[in-house]
Amino acid sequence: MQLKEKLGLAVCSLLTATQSQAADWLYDASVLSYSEKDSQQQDRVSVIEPVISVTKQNAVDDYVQFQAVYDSLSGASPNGANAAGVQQNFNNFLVRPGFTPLDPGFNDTRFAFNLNWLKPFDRLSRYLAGLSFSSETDYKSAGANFSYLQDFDHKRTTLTFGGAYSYDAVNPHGGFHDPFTSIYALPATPAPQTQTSPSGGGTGSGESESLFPGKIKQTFEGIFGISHVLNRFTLLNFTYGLSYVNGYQTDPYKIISVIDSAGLPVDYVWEKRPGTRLKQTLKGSFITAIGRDSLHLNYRYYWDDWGIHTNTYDVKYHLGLGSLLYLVPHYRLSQQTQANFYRLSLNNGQALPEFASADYRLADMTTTTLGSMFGVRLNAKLTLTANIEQIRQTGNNHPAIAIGDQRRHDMFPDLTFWALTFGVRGKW
Amino acid sequence: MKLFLIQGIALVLVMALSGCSHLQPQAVKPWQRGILARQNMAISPNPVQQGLDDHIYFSKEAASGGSGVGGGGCGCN
Amino acid sequence: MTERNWQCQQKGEGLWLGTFEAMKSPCEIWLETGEENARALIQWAASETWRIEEKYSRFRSDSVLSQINQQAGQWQTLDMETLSLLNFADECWRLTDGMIDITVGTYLKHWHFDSNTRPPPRKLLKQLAASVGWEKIQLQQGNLLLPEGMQLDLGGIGKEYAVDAVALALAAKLAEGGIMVNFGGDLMAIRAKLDQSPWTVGIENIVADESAVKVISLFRGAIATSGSTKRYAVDKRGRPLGHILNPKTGWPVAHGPASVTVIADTATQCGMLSTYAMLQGEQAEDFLQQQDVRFLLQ
Repeated sequence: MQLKEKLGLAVCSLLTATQSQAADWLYDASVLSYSEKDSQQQDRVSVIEPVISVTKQNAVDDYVQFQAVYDSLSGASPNGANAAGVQQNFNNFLVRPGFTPLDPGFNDTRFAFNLNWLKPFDRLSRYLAGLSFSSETDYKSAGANFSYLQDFDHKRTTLTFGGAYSYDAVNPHGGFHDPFTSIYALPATPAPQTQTSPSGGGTGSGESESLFPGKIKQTFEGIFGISHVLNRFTLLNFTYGLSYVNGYQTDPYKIISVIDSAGLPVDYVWEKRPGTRLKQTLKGSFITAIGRDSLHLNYRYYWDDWGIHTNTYDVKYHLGLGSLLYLVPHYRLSQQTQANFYRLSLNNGQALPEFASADYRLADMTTTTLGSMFGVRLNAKLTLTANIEQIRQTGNNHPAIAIGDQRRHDMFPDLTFWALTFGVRGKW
Repeated sequence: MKLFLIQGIALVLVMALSGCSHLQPQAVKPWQRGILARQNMAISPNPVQQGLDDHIYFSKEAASGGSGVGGGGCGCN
Repeated sequence: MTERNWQCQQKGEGLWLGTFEAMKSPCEIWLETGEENARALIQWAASETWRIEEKYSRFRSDSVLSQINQQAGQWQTLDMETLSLLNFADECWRLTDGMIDITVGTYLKHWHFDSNTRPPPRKLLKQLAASVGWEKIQLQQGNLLLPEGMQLDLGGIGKEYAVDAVALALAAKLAEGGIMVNFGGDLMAIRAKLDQSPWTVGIENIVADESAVKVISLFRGAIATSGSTKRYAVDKRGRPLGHILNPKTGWPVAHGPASVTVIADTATQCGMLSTYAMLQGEQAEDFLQQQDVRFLLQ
């Protein structure tokens, strides 16, 4: 090799290591809102979710980011029971014949905080670490994550190894219910105000408030990623993720219809899910520049030991319209297979399964999203964005397993809603 | 609805067949990274919007994950 | 320190020229973009250039480089940018058989290239030679031990590094449009102009200052020149002595060209090649021909 080329390589190393030292304060504030309505014209939940994110960027590979999210959710949500040809009584509300039962008193607010920071170890390696905390009236979560990133070949290839842990506590309104007991039975287990702690908290006359009351769920995650610069226009990224969840994973508000041989409900019982779940994902991303635009193609395959398999395709095109405006039309398709303990309903008099849930989110389902982001770069320091997308969830309206009365009703009303986000971002 | 996917794949094929260099491996020097450094070439160019979307999908689908580790729990699913 | 200024002027349809002074040179930033963007980027480029200058100037006692030199004799921890520069200097020293050596700073302290000062006595340079030689320094895991009495000089790398670093960062900040960074003739055209016309650069004539001897056209690439019409000492017969010192002797190389201009990929690469060519003396031209680069001798 000539001296010219050897010097060129040395310059590569020098310039790779010392890219842009610009320090900036960056912010992004957005508000998401949507109101769901299903194909039976029943209003479901409405969500308003503001987010603020502030980043202190010291260099390309050196930043600290803080994010705060407030999430307000209200409205009605499917409780798991099927539509039936009779009026259905769920203790505190009635459902007219033919309609999918929705629990109308679904209200919650959530605060979430995330702190992330990326710091270099040396010129070719760095770490990403984060802390997270979120709080709802019936759910608390705290977590930490750490990833190590190592560059090779003048930053052409980067490997990522990461892990995360989170500690969540579920403390439902109205307490826990014994699985498969009737919703008409008097509560057997009173709502625990505090988790039994080794220090014996909660035994005194005054109820001492634990930070994590209720039943516990722990999540252990690992990730391996490789990103590669294919050429001057194209970037490839592959990740494999593994997640092990251990603890209380039953939805404390979901029930299952118990039907007779005519397909009519005779009772409703509380659901039960396994205490462990092993999830795996493989994801590939292809990002390429087309002129001044860019095309993002993503594919994810997800599978878990609950028997769910999901194929997710995501396409985004970043289209510039002059120097001021840009559009990001996008399309996403996600198709999942049902969990092996998913049941449309239970048959009266038959032996109970070990686990069962009628949650539509564990059923065979397709979610499609079509939308676009619109951005206006007002100046070098301020950009306004609006994102509008239609999200549509469809499933099996008349599954073969339905019997009698169930066949006459829609077992999976389609759900379509528009999600809107408005955002402001820029730098100080 | 699969039409879009087919269009996407077709676009990649057209790029490959038209002799476009977008799919051919080629070493990239630091001073040739201008295009890759553009905001619209980031893995997630709009991270806050991506986070909001991921949260919708987390609360309405069985699958989640694939983009990283951590990020906080939610009782919504 | 006087207030540091920068200017921005329009040079054509969507073509902007930013000018400021740094590293004893007139600095130019050429950008193809809108006015507001151009102003913001030029201001950033000027402050980034001044940052590099202030960090690596041998003439400012508060610079990082001066602090390193003041702490000779003890182990010191380097920041990442300085470490990469020293790693680069190490690589250059290896590749040039020790001819490019930043420890010539030890000699440079006694030279004054102000176009009228006499060189330091040969006897002094001979004594100083014991405190020159990159092989004498220790660089381990980001820590440096510079032996007492030794001085580093990044004058031969700093300006070209600043050109490349600023050009690279501008290319990352500006999505499209031509970009050229020119610091006193050391330049990098990191991106071609939108209309595909070349950038044109005049290479200074060493005899008649101010009038360009040759115009070089390039779409993309870099140029650097070693040797100078302005920075020299004079011997006892009044003849100029260039400022590129042979690390073995502490004396400028004789019988070589007055200046060497090299055209290649990056300003830093051009700068190292032209400096190394200067150090070859009479063999400069042969050396450059072997290297298969575009060059210009004066």
